[in-house]
Amino acid sequence: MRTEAAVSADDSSQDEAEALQRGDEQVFRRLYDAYGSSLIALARTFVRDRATAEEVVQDTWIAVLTGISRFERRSSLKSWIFSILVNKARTRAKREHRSVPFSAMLVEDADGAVDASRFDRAGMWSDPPHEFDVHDPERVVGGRQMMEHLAAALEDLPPSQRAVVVMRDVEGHDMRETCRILGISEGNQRVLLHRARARLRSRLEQIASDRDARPPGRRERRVTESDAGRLPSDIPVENERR
Amino acid sequence: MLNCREITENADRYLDKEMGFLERLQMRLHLMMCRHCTRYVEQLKATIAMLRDLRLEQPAEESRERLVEVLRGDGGRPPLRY
Ligand SMILES: [Zn+2]
Repeated sequence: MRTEAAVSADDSSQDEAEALQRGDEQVFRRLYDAYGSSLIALARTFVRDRATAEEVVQDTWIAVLTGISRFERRSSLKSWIFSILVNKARTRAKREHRSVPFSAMLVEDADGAVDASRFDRAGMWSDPPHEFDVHDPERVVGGRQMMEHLAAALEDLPPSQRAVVVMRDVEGHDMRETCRILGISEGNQRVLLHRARARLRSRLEQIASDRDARPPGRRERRVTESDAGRLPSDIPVENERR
Repeated sequence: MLNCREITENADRYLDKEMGFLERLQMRLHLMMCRHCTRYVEQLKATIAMLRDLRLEQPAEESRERLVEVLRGDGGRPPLRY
């Protein structure tokens, strides 16, 4: 739903800007609902807590509504709104004496996409990706849906990685817009996005294989090169004889 | 020839189609032969798809309605200040 609204906002930026200028409440409510959660998520990469993030979002909308006549249509309405948010959030972060996430970002972790111990010396998998059902985001593992695990993993990312992944993957901005809005280079954006996605995948893999619905006691060693992709080991051997 | 570790380092550029022809071809060749990397790429792709559908927490509805008043220009009281 949200995605559709976001797409239509891009297509009809002009009309929506005009509608806001006319004071169209329906259009405003639709935009607010479509971008609200991402704006908060993005604000939270800059400021201390959720309450402050909500204030930043509120200030952003006030700036949008009172400044809509100054929207010059050089970008989509959506990226204009997100740019305003980033400016507000930065100002707020400075006031709180918080370091802005992108100032020190490339040192925050330098790990590979996958832990180096999972490859052999030739760079081939020694501990290959553990299988999990990637097509069922609602599957419950360890008492939570995979979707919820993903949301929690997103929260745990370093702020600058989180900001980039919210912009690119959650909200669907393209690389250019993302770089412009966050004020980072394409190279940095690429690195941050790469690390963020790799970490999120690892978390899902780890959650799915650590707390799998296997009967207790049957939690065998990690899947190794030789048995990956074969039948799960808890299928009785007798089956093969039949 | 790319090794598996290099595939994982480049998988998301591959999915985003930010690769030239030759590099893409090398990825494809490796993926054709390596089911582990194929699985990795599928998992990464699924993770990205899930992010797109992620339902993050929405802001409070009353905040929205206070903004509607700003839009109406009901300026009797100043817009929210903190
Ligand atoms: Zn491989």
